[in-house]
Amino acid sequence: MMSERLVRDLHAYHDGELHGLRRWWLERRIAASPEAQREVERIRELGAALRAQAEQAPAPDLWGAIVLRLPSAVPPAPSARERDGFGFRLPPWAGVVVAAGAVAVAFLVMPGGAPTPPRIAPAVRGSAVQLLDTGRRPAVVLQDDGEATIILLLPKQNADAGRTSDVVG
Amino acid sequence: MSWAEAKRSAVAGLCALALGLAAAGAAAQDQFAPAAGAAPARKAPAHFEVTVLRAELAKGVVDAEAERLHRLLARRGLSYGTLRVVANEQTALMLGEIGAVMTPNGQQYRYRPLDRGETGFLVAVDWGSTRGDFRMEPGVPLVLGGQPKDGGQLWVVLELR
Repeated sequence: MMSERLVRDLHAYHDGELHGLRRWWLERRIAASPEAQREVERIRELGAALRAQAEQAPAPDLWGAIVLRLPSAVPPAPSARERDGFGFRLPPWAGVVVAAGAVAVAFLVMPGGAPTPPRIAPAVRGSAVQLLDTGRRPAVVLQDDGEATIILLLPKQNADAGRTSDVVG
Repeated sequence: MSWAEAKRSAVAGLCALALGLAAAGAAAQDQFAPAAGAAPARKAPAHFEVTVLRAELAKGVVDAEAERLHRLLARRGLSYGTLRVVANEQTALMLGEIGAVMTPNGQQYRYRPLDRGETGFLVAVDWGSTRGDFRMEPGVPLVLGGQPKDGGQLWVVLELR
């Protein structure tokens, strides 16, 4: 049974990465060990198989044809000024902020498609409830008038069933 | 007129002037003082009463202090057999100060007056993962409930006095 380190050294030997004393020492060990010789032979066969597979890969001219068709589909790259749109370079994190905002807007405008109930209810004119964030829990405003404001938090397991009750106000 | 007499009359004149100004100031203050029921004085604290209740479906006792909430909930189709007051506190908070009461589920119910309005306060409330901002007026309770506890539910009533 060969050690993991010896196998690693045999791979390095096959790839021509060993030199000097280490190469000499490993060659002696290979000569003395039929198991190491078999391993070197196996590595050689594996390399040959990989090279054969690489030769069967799509011909370069196919990729060339694809590349040639790309320019008509890709618009010309905008200048830095056009890309930023404001005449100055945006910081690197601006893209992340814009992407997060786009995702948030998508969730807000997605009709019934949001995976979680709306968390923050907007204020309704004349309502006592100016902001309501129940985390992932659905909630119902049972009453919101001059007599009382009553908000019932529904159990989490009813979140899907109670989705129609999430709208407050 | 001697020098001493002149000094005495000057001092008397200054005193009379000071008294006159003080009287005029007091009169003006009376004239512009807010009438009862008008906007709360700018530096007056907000007086709150917070009540924590535990509700169960099983037939039991409805505490006398919980009868108003019991009626309000029953009108909305939430009828409980038992409604007990767990805690009741009264606090006076200046703007920005935080009041808190521990509920039996181990969470803190916190409330904080953020701004003063014509007749009430804008109050921020948080309880567990729930938070909100509410316009509160005296005598109109803010009732938040539904947190489970031992097969029952917890309700918290916050009222501006």
